[in-house]
Amino acid sequence: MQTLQAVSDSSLIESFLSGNQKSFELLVRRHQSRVFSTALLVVRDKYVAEDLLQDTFIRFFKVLQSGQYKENGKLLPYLLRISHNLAIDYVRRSKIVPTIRTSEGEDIFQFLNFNEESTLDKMERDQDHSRLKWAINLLPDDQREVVILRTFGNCSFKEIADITGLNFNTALGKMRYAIKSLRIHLIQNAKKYDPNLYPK
Amino acid sequence: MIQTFTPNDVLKAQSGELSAEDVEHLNASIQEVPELQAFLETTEYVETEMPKLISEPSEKPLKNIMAFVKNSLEKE
Repeated sequence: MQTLQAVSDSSLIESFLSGNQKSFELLVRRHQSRVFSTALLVVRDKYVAEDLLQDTFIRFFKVLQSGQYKENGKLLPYLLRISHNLAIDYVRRSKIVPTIRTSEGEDIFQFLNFNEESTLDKMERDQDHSRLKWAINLLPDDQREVVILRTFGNCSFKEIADITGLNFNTALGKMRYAIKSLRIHLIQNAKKYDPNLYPK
Repeated sequence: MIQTFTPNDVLKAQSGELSAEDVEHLNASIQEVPELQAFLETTEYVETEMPKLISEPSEKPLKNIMAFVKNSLEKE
């Protein structure tokens, strides 16, 4: 018997289109955390990100039903792009202020801790992650998309180029600019950050 | 001949899109170029830490999605 891990997205899509609703549920379970986290990076609100997760899979369902989905083994990047675009649209529509600051002028997001952590090390690590989330949020949309496809979608730059319609060097260039911007943001806001990343 | 590498080569090495021979030369030369070394450190940091930002949603969206799917298919 095949394990769930061994069943490809293509097989699950085929199974769903043959009438097996459980296959669609398995696709959602497989990809929902990355789709949700992509939206969360942009909208920074768990409940909105969950709504966008729903919208992403409902959109995918409609495309499948219409027969317009072309299965090419790239479902996750496809879903990540939908989620990212929906999140960008949401922010534009609602004109969300990208950062919320305390009276001392510090970004309140860096103090938010969604997990129950107990040790100082974990708290510091979470603060580093909050800074990374904040820095990712500040990237231009096109650069953030490439970072998400590379890190959440585990795509090569050739795949990113194919999925986004960019040429290979442009995809590389967007990641290069993103890395340089992230480095600047992380250094400027580092309290505990890898000392190797401070300017020499 | 001394081969010159760029940040794009660092990115290609990280994504497995640089030849093994070039990766070897890049690794050898990167220690001599502080800018490339710094770029590699940040790239590795981002590629290592980003997946740790992935978190699980509640069960509610899944339930809503499957309810929508079920209702849509029943209407057909």
